[in-house]
Amino acid sequence: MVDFVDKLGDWNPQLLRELKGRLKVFSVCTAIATSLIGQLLILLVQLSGIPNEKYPFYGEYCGLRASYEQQRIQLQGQYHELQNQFFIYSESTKFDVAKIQELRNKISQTHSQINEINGNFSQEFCPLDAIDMQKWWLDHYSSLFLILSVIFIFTLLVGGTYLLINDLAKEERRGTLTFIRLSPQTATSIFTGKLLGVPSLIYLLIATAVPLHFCAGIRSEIPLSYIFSFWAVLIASGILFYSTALLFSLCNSWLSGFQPWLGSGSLLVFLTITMHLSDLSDSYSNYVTSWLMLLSPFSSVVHLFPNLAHTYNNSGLGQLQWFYLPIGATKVGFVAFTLINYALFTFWVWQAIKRCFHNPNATILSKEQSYKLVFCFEAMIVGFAVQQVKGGNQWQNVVSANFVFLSFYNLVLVVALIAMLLPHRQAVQDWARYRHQDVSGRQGFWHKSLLQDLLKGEKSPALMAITINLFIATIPLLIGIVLLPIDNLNSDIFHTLDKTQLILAVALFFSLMMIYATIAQMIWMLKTSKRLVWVSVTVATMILPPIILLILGVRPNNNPLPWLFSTFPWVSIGYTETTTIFAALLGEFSVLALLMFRLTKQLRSAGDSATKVLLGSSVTQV
Amino acid sequence: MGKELAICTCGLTKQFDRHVAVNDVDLEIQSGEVYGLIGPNGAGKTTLIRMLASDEEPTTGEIYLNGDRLRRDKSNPTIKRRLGYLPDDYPLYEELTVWDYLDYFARLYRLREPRRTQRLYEVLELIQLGNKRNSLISTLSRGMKQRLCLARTIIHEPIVLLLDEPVSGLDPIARMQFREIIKVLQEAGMTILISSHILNDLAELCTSVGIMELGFLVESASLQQLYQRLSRQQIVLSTLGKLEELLGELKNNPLVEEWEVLSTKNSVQVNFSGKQEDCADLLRSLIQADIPLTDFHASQENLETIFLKMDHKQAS
Repeated sequence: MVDFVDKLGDWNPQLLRELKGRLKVFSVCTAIATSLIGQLLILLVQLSGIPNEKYPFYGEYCGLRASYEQQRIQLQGQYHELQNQFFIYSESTKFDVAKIQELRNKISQTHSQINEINGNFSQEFCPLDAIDMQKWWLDHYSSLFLILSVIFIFTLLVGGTYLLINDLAKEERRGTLTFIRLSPQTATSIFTGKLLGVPSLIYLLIATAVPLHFCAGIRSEIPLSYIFSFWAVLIASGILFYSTALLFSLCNSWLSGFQPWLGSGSLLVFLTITMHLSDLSDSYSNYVTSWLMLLSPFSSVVHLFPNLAHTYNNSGLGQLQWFYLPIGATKVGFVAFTLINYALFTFWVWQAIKRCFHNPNATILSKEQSYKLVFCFEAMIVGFAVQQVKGGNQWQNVVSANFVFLSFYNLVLVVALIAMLLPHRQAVQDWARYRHQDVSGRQGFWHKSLLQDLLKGEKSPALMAITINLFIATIPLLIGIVLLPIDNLNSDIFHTLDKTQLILAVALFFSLMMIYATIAQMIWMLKTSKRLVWVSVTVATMILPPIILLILGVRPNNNPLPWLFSTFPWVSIGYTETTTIFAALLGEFSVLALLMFRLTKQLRSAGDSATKVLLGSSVTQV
Repeated sequence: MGKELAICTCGLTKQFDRHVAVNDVDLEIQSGEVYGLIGPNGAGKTTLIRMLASDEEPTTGEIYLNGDRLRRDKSNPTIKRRLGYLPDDYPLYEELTVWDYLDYFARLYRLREPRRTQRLYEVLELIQLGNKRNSLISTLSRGMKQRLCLARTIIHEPIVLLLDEPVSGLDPIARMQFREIIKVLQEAGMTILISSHILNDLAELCTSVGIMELGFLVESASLQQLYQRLSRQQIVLSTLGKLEELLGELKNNPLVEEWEVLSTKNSVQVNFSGKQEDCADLLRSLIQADIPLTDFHASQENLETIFLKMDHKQAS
């Protein structure tokens, strides 16, 4: 045992430290006891519903009721048949007294039999030997399996996220992270240790309940491969959400004690919403929102165990396609795609973790990395918009909705890019002041050029990079518009739009996003401690105008002009003249040019040497 | 050529907003030296040390440790293993025991058994905390915590040690213990850069001294050179006779630059520019002049006096 601990410590010192700090006898006993008591309570609640002599006759598992029901139907059929014959032999053409008498007796006999059966229906309880216990146990185990799966998802993801953010925030607060940072260990080693060690008690809590989960799964006749698939998805989602939590903690230490609550609270809201949405068919089919749903492990639960989740294949998951690839057609395909999706975004989160750990003042991602990330993100979400649409004219509405969803995703993307790429004020100042020194040491025209610095530089302003990223993000929209098989798009959302109008809408969105990004960069360079607040306010104003317009009752069909300048110009384009749209676009470009001019001036002033500032101030004083 | 340079910086600059904390510093420290960094608060000492420890990114300039370029954005495991850094606030994991804390850092620096346990015992003995190895860190005194943090800094046997104000806030006994540890480390061949306001401690420990002012490294020389250049010889004389007679004789000696009558009875302090032979000549001449001397004591100006005399008191 000692040897194993020693080897574990040599492999990952961070993991050993976390385990040593957490796996104390009392904590371990408490975790195991909590898990066992929890399992017992769930079992007791389940077993309290076991059918007994007071099981209602109308209960789901009473076999007698079904048998009576069948007999009654049969007798009622006979009764109707006899009555028909009675009417036939009562007619003048076929009148037969003997037959009528015989039928009358039979009718009366059948009627009394029906009454007898009806009498049975009035009984309150089901006899014990008539209860279908086999079915009850099957449903009981299915329900137990589902309850445990839901508990695992919430406990593991929300609880673990809270612990990880809290732990890292504490390390950052007391300054111990600096020493770890200065050690020769890699970020991967340190954070793998944190990831495996910090939530160790939660792992223990869940591991104690795993046997019951497997037992319930096998008893409810779920194939083992499906249960393992569920665990693979849960573990992969855990790695992604935990890694994101670590990154969140590294980048937002200013949030202090509120940090863990904000992080795990957001995840709780996400999981709760996706849990409720996962069994709705519209959540998946044809829309780019499918990507967001795939991030939630509940999608896999619904797909793997449709009978348990009571969706009975109506969730639309079966029809899910990605670039016409039928990923929802098989369970293996769906799970594999979900895992690839988790792996892809976990990879990007770790790229950011490595950067932020080694240099807390660096931007979350480098400019070059951001281009690749945006490409991956766009490829992933656009794939869900490119799929077979059922129904005649329904596709126009689907395409329109996807335009709205894509532009909303792109809005979130711009916010994320601002957060990830804006260099610290000090970095921009250093770049403006000392760039000439750095450039003088480089060889070749391209390496010395300003453009190269703006596209790839670590400290240069992020506007050029955001522009490139916006191009990458809007290209799929433009391709979609060009490839539309008709000239006009008629839909409930847009009214009627031709291709030129759609392209103009993309241009309006682009220019508006650039204006916001420029303002954010300018604020980020201000000499005030409230920079973050102001940038947050700017970002919030991206989302607020449409909401305010809706509250004020300004509808795009009645008053399209204000909507033209909002974050969602799409909705008003159909109600506006093309010349007005051009004028709006021209106006936005003018504002952008003005802001760029102001930013350049701000950068020049930041790059002034101390002597120049001193001489400048003395001249002013003279 | 002298020994290899353990630390070398070229045009090292750090700017915070418009404020230049470290300005174009070219620092050269040879292997095995104990280099004292002195200067007023805000002169840029801590920023310089933080940059050398790769805890802060330089605005411009380069840092070389044993000839290898130090870059912050790279993980640099080899260079990191050569470095030991003790910041002025020494944060610790209060919930760990002394042994577990050191064991954790030994593992972080990839020390393997049986060397790890052996090294842990060595450093615990050096910092005199062997008897506290199973105590929780939260129960240690400030001096002990400071020594424990030093132990953490040297656990991986770095060849360059950066100590930022290591004795601030310690009582005289703790300071003395700390000085002794540094001497042992110096004997072990470590290159040590130490910043401190307690100049007497530095004078006792250091082989070279650098003075920082306004973010510039205004002086960097061996302690011997500094004394030769800036420290004057002082002689304290006491007489049983009349002070005027003694002063009269002193005035005749051209090597006596100035004198100051001390408050104690019939004593005078003289700034003397001659060598030791000249000092002996002066004593001989005074005795021949029948001055009844009771004390003749020659001494050098200490580091603190030199520093104050140099008037490098401006923060950057």
